[in-house]
Amino acid sequence: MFALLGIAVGCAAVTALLNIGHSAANEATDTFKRLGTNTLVVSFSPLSGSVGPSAVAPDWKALTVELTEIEYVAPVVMHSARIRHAGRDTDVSIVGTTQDLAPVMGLRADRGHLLSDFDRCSTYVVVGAGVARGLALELGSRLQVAGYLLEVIGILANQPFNPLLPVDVDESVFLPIEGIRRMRPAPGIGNVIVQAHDTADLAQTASTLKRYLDHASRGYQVDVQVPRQLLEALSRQANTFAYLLAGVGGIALLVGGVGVMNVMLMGVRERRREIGVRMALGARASDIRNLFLAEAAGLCLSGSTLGAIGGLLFA
Amino acid sequence: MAGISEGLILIELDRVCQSYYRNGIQQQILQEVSLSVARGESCAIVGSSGSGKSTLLNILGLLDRPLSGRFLLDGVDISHSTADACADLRNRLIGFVFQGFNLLPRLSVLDNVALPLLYRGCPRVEARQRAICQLERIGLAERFAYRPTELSGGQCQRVAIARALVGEPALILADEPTGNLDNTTAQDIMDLLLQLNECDGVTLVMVTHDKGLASQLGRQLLVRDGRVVELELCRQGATSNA
Repeated sequence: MFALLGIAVGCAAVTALLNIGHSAANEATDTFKRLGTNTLVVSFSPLSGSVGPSAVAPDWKALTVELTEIEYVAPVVMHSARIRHAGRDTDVSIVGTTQDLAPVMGLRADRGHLLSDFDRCSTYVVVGAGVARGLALELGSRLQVAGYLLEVIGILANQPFNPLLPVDVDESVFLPIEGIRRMRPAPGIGNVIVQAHDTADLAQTASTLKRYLDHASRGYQVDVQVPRQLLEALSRQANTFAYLLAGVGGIALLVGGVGVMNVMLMGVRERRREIGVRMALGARASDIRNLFLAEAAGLCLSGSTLGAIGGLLFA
Repeated sequence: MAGISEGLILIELDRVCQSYYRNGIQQQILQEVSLSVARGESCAIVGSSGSGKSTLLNILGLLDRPLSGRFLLDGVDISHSTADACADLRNRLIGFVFQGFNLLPRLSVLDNVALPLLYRGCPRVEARQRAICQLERIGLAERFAYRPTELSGGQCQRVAIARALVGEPALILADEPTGNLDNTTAQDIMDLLLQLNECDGVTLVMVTHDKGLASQLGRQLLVRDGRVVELELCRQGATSNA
């Protein structure tokens, strides 16, 4: 009975660990795929001593012209606010951005349509799926934010949070970047999400972009992150982790195997009398051997099946 | 004795010796034992502890091989038989009844009785049918699904006898079959064994300490200091083959 438990636990551990390792690796790859392979994330943070809002207000469209490797540029201004609708209120992030955010982050409208450059000075917003669900928003609903009424023109499809991007799509309200001034008197651009052309060398693009932005925004620290490099590092780490798990699993199985052997030896010792009786009844030596082998095999098989099921459930 | 041809010798020991080494000293257990038992006879083996009774029974039951001498069981010289051939002979010719019953606790009464047939390669269904028949003979058929631990000592020993008989052996070897039972139950078991001997012609060899039980059998063999002595001639007047 104890051997059965030992094997079951061993197998459960191995299965669970392998599964966890596998799903971790999968998750990393998924994130990678959702993101697109050519995304760069720029973040601005004020250097100590610098005053005033971000001087960064360049013509973002111009960036795609000056840096030919870049396909889309989406500046992002984040603002936390409490919004009300039909007597309910909730805290969301208000994201001021441009129409380029949609292709960069892969946003899709579930209902209505996305922001376009023609909405620049309007009070139209597009809301994430989570916000829409939480406040029971429909197309045409009017959100109340800090004294303004914003009209919902689109509701986004569900999109899981990607830790490599600054925006949590489901819990955000998107409005044209010009409109963010209604919320904050002097908004600074926090992030720029950039998508390079497929053929671009990302590292090269990142450094060019950093040089360009450093020049354009004095007084600000500019960081350019390349999610692909992060993910590659992550997946290397996941590989190391998988080797470690395989090692642990192997040791667990070895211990389980030794346990079975032990139990079988104990069984033979304890059941000498039974063996004698069976011999007296006409069992051949091979019959006795088969009996014990069958029991050991049954033990291993049921233990490992139980363990595998347990491991799958756990993982 | 019904239908058993006289003079057909089942067991023949010819100057059989057995000895063990203990602490480097050779201990002679059996010294040139010669003995023959005809089919249908009933035979008690008596003797004090350590006289070599069990060793003799082990040799008769093919559980041990004699060091020297010749042992013919049903005309087959077992000193030249392989272990598997011995197992086969045990299965077909010999039924064992032990002092401690030795039923397998994890099997039901029915499966205990059917076990010898399974080792013979008999299909399970047929083995169970024949086991049921044996259990009916000993009057325990309605308890076939019980575990041995749920039965009394006397019932266990009857199940053990059914197990010994299910393969229709020529010889029953009983090692103090009544040693663990009270007097009444012991006599019941004894009667059952004697009845099998007399009605079915099964040869019965029984080790016992009890003089009263020994006297109910046809022959008494006394084992003393590794030698076998015939105590008295067969009561029923059958010719002794010794």
